[in-house]
Amino acid sequence: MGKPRKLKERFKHMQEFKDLCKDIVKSAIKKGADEAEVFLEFGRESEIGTRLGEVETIKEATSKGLGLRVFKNKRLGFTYTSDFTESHLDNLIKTTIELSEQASEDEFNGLPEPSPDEIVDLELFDPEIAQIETSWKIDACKRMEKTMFDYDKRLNNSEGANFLDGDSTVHIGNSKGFYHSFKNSYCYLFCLPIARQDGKLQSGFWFSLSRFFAKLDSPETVAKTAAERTVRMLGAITPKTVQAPVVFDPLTAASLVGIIPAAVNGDAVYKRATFLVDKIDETVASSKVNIRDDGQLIKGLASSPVDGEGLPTVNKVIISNGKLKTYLYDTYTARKAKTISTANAQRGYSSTPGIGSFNCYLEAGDFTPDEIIGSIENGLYLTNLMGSGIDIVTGDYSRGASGLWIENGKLTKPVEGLTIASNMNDMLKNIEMIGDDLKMMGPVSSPTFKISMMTIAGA
Amino acid sequence: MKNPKQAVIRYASAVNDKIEVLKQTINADIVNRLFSVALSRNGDFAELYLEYAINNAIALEENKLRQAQSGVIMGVGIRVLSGEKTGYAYSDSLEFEHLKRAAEIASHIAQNNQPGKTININAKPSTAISISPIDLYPADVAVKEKSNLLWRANETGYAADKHIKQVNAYFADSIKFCRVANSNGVFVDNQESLCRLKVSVVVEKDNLRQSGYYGNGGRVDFSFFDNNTPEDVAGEAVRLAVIKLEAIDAPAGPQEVVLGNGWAGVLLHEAIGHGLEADFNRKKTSLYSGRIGRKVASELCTVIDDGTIPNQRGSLNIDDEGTKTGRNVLIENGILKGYLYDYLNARLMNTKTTGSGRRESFHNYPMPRMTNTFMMAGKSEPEEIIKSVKKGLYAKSFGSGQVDISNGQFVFEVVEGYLIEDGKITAPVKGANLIGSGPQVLERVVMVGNDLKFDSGLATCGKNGQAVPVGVGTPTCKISEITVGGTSLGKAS
Repeated sequence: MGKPRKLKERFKHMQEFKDLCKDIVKSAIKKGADEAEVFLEFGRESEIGTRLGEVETIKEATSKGLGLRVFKNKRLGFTYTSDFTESHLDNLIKTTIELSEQASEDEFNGLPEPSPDEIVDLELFDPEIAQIETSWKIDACKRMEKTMFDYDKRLNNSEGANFLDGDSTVHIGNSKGFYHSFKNSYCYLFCLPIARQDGKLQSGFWFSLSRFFAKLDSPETVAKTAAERTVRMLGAITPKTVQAPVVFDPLTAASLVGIIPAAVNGDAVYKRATFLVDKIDETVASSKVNIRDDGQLIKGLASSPVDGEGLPTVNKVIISNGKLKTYLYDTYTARKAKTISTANAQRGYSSTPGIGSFNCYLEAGDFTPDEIIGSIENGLYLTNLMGSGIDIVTGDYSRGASGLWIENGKLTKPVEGLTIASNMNDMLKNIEMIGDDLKMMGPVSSPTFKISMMTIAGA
Repeated sequence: MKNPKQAVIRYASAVNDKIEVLKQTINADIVNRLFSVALSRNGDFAELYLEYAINNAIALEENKLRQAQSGVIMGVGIRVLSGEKTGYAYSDSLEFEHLKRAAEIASHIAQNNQPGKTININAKPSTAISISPIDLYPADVAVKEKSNLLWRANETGYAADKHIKQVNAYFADSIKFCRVANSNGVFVDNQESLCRLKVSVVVEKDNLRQSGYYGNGGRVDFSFFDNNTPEDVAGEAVRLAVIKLEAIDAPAGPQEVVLGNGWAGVLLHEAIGHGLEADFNRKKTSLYSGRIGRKVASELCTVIDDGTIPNQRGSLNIDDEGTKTGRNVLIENGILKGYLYDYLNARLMNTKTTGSGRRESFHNYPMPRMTNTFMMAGKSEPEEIIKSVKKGLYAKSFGSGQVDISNGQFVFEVVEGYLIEDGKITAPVKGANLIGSGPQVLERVVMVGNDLKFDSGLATCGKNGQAVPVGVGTPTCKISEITVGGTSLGKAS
């Protein structure tokens, strides 16, 4: 495979892109915009996949794109492109201003005032990642598959083992004199074992994701977890419909915690399209529940020094001892709600800022996962969720589920073909025990927890 | 049967000039030079995919046209195959040096250092035949006219019910040009147009809030909205939201379920469609592996994937490997007939591609994917089907779904559902999910209606992180038993 681009060449891009941002902003103002902002991304991605011990796919590329947001007479126009030729960009600026003239006037439109707060280097870039040899990546994938197959002879097929890595540089510049650029990197290992027993298949999955190569779990660790999670589902049955407690493992728990940022999205709040509307300072969850959104976590998987509009991100509490403390805002929705932005604007170059969380997590509790499982006489240990049955407006929750059945405090048989259902208002209040096993695994993380009662529909 | 409306593509004004430039830039000579680089390590297949797309969108919120936007996607993807292996690289710059580097990267998948073969593709590319001819491309329509649709929807939405608190309307359209060339001699140009109108509303009454959304579109002429009006779309969104205000908790547990015609075809997409994609079957990771010719569904079931239906969202003139799309019979009278193949999987399984190789954009290599997947109409009257149910659920419309290919387990949410009691549709229900396994549910199809209908044109399918537009369709049909997930216990029979 080709060598990664030399660092020197990439620094040349840094200066070029900084100048480009400034030039486009300047030109947009000259052409009649009141305010203008450029969000530019330049990235590298690489992907290696092996299957049954052979290389299956190799993919490698760099890409770029920019989004231009302009305001004219409080009207918003937006364009994006991956074509950086000069004549095209000239046209694009013109088009953006024309588009803004078509939109409605809105007093809340406009760029944020630059923040006086310092922008902190959060150590999100690992130069080592771009230097990883292709041969090492192929070997890591092959080792993952070998570890899976050695784990249990019923694991005899695979959807493959993969190593992905990349980095991106973001430049944000606007007509209020703001400019900042920052880099981040990632590497990602995952494997997809298939187990077979009595002619029936079960697929599984595990992964490790990190901004730093040194912090990535070993291929063997990832593969062993994937193998264990897959094999234990063989011979799954569908139990009878009951109401019973449900223990969410860290993966499924994170999926539930991930509903919170969507439910406190300032845009959904003013549209009254969330079950958490009009609930600030009210009790919305069990007093044991503390949920944070931290954009400033050093080396964090979803950290960012600034948000999509260039405001320094913050570490904030969303739910404190069960009480809702804040909604998440960007500049527009904050103005509309007569408050200030929580610096939660998120975007890629091809969209205007939307609202999202950074590192969102449920704080760890005091119980070991075994203590939580041990507290249940008859219930479900949930390890996999399917479908997207959550209605943010009402909080109604209903999803496909599989996992292990708990009897007398012990994990017994695998179960599948279930749905679990409740309402988010009840589920949050019924979080009874929280585990001490919080590990940052992705943009949303959670320790194990138990919900005291849910409807589990089965046979 | 040949569709009389088929015609040679006429390029949209929005992209015409740029396409002329691109055709010159990525000409046969350039393609041949790139292929000689791509195959320099003796790979056995090389392919170039050039894409140029314009995506437009406007959004109306709170009685304001919030924004108008337009974006350009442009780039080239180069793929090299060597046996089962795929090498892929792309470039969003069309400078020869950058394209050459992409070809070099992709070439490395083959490790042989013997000089590769020389490729000479035809100097002149062909142009795909349009299966959805269009006079007025949505991409060529002025923003003002498109926003008119949104204002009309907005007015209807607020006027429809005094409890409506929010109306949001959205219109998006795209026009996409691509040129596909490969070392087997394929050299073809194509253009696809797509649009959709979507309305969502929030209704609030006695401290209860509910939402509803509806939309329509497809690969249609802009005049489509003359007959499929924004007023209809907004009215349907309001109706769905208001019904939910009265809805009771869904009864949990196994029961008889009647699927409504149209959108409910997403059940076929999840329950069987994905499991018949050739990649999973070549790797024997699908529960349908090795089962062609076997009975996998009730004999009432004939399931088709058809990429040639004019104006449907999932249709394509050619797939993203340059192959004409087709009408592929997946299940005939309950017997499994075939899989959906792209070029790579067809070659490795000694058969022909079914024109099912699709990709989200030039950033990705293609995979076998569905187009428009539907069940053929049966003989039963829809009323007769409802009448036959003593106690069960009428699942009229669905939201999104998901499937696990290995064990066939699928799940999807019911967005409009009602109880059926003594052969009559009664109370609306909320929060219901259906869960089951593909073969089991298809075996239990006991009545199929004569009222096949397609969805209104909003469906998007995700696989390995790539999203592509698709269509689904089904007649009304009855499933003798399927597990319903809900919160209410003890009501199911």
